[in-house]
Amino acid sequence: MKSALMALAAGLAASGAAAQSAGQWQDPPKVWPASCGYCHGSGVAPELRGRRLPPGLIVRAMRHGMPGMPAFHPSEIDDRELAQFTLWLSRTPAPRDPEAKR
Amino acid sequence: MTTLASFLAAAARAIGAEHVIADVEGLAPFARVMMPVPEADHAPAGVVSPASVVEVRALLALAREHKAALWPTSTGRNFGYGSSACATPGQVVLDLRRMNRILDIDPVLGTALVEPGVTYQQLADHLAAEKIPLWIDAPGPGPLVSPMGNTLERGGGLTPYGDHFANSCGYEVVLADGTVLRTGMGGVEGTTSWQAYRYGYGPFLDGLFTQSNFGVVTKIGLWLMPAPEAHRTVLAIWDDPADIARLTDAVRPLRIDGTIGNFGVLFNSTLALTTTSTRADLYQGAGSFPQDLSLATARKRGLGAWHYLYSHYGPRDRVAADFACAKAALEIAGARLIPDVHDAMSSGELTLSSFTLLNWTGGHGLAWFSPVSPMRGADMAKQMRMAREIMDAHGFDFMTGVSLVGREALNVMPLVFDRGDPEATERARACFSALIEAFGAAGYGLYRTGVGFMDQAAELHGAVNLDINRRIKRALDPDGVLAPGKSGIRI
Repeated sequence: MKSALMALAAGLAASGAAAQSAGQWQDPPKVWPASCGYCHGSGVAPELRGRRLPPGLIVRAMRHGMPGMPAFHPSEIDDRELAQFTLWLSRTPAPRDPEAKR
Repeated sequence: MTTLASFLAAAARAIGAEHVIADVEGLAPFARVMMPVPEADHAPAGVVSPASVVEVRALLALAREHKAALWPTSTGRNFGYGSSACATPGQVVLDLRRMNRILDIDPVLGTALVEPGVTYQQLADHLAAEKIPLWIDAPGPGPLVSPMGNTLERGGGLTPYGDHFANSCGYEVVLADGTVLRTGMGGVEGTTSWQAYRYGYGPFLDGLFTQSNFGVVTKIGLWLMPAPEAHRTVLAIWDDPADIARLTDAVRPLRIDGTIGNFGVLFNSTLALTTTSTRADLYQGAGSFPQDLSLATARKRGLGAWHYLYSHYGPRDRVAADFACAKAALEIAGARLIPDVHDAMSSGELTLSSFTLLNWTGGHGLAWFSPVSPMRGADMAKQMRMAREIMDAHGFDFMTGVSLVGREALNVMPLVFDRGDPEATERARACFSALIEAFGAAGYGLYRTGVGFMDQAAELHGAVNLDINRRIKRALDPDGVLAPGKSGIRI
């Protein structure tokens, strides 16, 4: 019933639709410390920035979860936001100061 | 079309096709569980994500018309209790995450009114942005989850407001027939006190909507703690596993009279080790992680058999006086104290550091076995002995992180296993079921339980109790459209 294309079309057509998914995932650099960074690079799970992970791999991990990591629902981060986020993560360099975890 | 397909088609017309999920790939994040139960036994058949109370009412009307069952979730992250998955397969998740407005914060009274999808992170960010000196009290997965979901499951945290249900005040509930109920003082026209006074007039109803399937809570009032002038977190350590009895008896009066300001958390050596090690780092043998090895490793790291992380809060003078009283009493009971430690959860801060627990074995298998114990040393010792024996017999590692509430202790034991291993998963299921049975036979009930074990837990709490719940269910939701099987309750 719901395809990525439909979600994309809906997101583009209705302004505010992305905000309705949850709103917090529109700005990846802000999302990182408010969600991922609590574990990744903070002693719970591996640092992912700077690893040039393929976006498809990140999408799969987020939608299906990983050992120790929950799955993320489309009502929290829709397909369009997920695409933006994975692109950002795959291109973001590792933090310069490894002590600055988050 | 099947009734389910006709419901989903009608739902798509009502709230937009982009807010309805029915394909296998789209459902995957909602089907994933950590519990030792087959995903197929609890897999949702669809997801509908309304944006408003109007849409919730429309979906309930459609569910009645098409005989669909709706499983409400706020953020759907009841980790180790079922996450988003349903008590029975084929239900449609009523995913309230898109309803995520903070409707009101009263900095004077220290109250909030929020929708289901608001997370602790969102609430904390809002308070910080507005420079409102109120604390949040978040559970272990805090930043990812919602005050509503955790409160309705009667979850807990580590500040003085750790009893989340006790610190909730005034709900808006949509009943199965579309009635919108505002509990407590919310029914008074032009109410001034909805988030200030819990009980309203006549019967106090809020509890009916916790751990239940009697309605869809769409707004919840919260009490937030004013940031204290001072607080001090202490780690008390006991070296002998048998110390559980005397430490329980020593802590009880300090909790009942408020000298210790939060439940704190009492954890054993193995749970302590999970924060810095994986199981494979320490042990590659068969069976459960040996207690001798656990204790020896803990000792090498300056840890012990039991650790009680607790805090004092308030004006500086009070914190100093409470610290001295608790220190004296706990040292007499054999504790050594690390007098100043930082703990984020005890300090109103967000963290996911407890997720290191999931690295212990890898494989994301987690189920919380959570019996209630009266706060007596003999009972606590008995519960620990029983749980250890049953977990040992099933080849799992005994761990516990206990909330020392006051007259009761919530003995929250993580059963951690490799969910990628079908044999281990089945063994964990058998272990969990054996734990419920043995604890029930010894007169202990459960604080909370997850999908797959709700019927067994409900049975343990008595046929009359279950029957009364069923009568209420039939009165409020005669078609049984809301979450059949939640807490064992069906029409």
